[in-house]
Amino acid sequence: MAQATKTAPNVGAPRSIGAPLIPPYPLGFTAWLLQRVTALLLVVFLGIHIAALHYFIIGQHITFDRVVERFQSPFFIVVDMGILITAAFHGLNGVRAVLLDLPISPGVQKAAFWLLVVIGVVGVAYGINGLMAFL
Amino acid sequence: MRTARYADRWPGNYRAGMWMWLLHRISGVVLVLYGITHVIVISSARTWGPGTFDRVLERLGSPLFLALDVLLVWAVLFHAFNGIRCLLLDLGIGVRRHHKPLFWAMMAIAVALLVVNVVVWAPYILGKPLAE
Amino acid sequence: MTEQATLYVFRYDPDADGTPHFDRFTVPWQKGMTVLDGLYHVLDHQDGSLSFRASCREGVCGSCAMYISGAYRLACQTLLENLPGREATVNPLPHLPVLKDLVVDMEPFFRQYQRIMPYLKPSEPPPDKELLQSPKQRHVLNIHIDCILCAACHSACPLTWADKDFVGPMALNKAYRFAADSRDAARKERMRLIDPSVWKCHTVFNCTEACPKSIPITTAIESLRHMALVQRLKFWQR
Repeated sequence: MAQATKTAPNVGAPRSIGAPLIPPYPLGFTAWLLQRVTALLLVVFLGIHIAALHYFIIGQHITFDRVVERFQSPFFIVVDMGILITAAFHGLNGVRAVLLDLPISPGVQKAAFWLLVVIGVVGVAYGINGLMAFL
Repeated sequence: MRTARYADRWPGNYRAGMWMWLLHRISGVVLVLYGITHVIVISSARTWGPGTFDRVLERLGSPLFLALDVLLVWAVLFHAFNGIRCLLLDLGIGVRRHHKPLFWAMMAIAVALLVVNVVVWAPYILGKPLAE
Repeated sequence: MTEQATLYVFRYDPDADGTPHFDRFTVPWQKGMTVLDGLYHVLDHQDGSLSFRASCREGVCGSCAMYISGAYRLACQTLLENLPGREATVNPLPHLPVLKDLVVDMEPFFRQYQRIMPYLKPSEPPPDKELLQSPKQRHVLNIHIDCILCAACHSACPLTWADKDFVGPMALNKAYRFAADSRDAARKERMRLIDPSVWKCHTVFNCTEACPKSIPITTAIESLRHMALVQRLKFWQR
């Protein structure tokens, strides 16, 4: 059983799992800021994406030809590519934030961080490759 | 004095902010899983060719998947408008006094948009076939 | 026959059987009686082994914060007549280790307090005279200076439950109180001390709801974020 009273805390140098996962870069602020920037971008991009696919073509099947037709306009290419990149960052950074609030050891957190980076990079490459079919 | 115990690890009686935080994370994880699925489905045009893409999308246009789409739309709307609420709080809007009206306003907009979506798609969810 | 009030009190004695349970006590009630008065009555007349922390009985010392009938309250500020059926369920603060009955280990809480440099730091060299403050400058600190270190917010915040390195709402409110003070000259250092933690807050408002002194702690954290953001943007000063 754990001892009720612990040894005196090391006040000077607190270990911090919220702090630099990539030393010496402080990730807390950057992640916070980018999470909010991508959130705003996603509200705009996803608003256009869902409106175009859900409200302006009510009652129609989405087919390959229709998507190719939509991608004739560079505007939609920018929007969909934008969603792919911002959503990948926002989602995976969100998962990282969820993991940081769980009682998980810093070593596992660090491993999970790099796993998320790999998932993000591979996912975005795979997604761009997929979108190429319509161009 | 030998051991220490925790009396109550999970106190009940949470206020709205706590539920919003939990639901924001749950909807976020759901959306990440959906996003991965979505990329795989859309990439089927590249991976297996346009024919497969059309067949998959036709299957996804069935009433069952259109009904599941309502859940997805709710996850998106909830996550988006709760996220906007958090953004406004971070900008210092409503954080001092009006965080409760702000919460109700955001949830009202989200529910209104969900109702619009359900009303528009209701005939197809109930079995009306989609146009080719 | 005098009127009665009922207390359901969490009991845990690691030196005896070590089984956590609730004891039911019935105490004579009169108008204006608080939960703390009830606990003192139990201690004096019914069970001398009951342990709880209390001191001032007037909501200033911050010793008697407990989780009473589903809310974070100071036992000395909670009137029994305001609780339904004059019944109080008295828990120690959740998420802090219980030492005995209603006494929790405040070590994790005060460790966070020490981390944020909880004192004013004047400019170098220190001024010869006392530092004066205008009423306007003092007004900024109002409410935030009322913190009595009762640990209700720390216990309520869902981020302190799992992440023992998150300094917590109390420390962030205190950091704001010192950083916003016109007599303080160490804002840059303070921003460094609270850096990873201040970005972790998810504006859950649990701390603001829990605070028995009604301090808008979430507001303090957001103000602190604005200070930290400004400090970040001044890259030439780093």
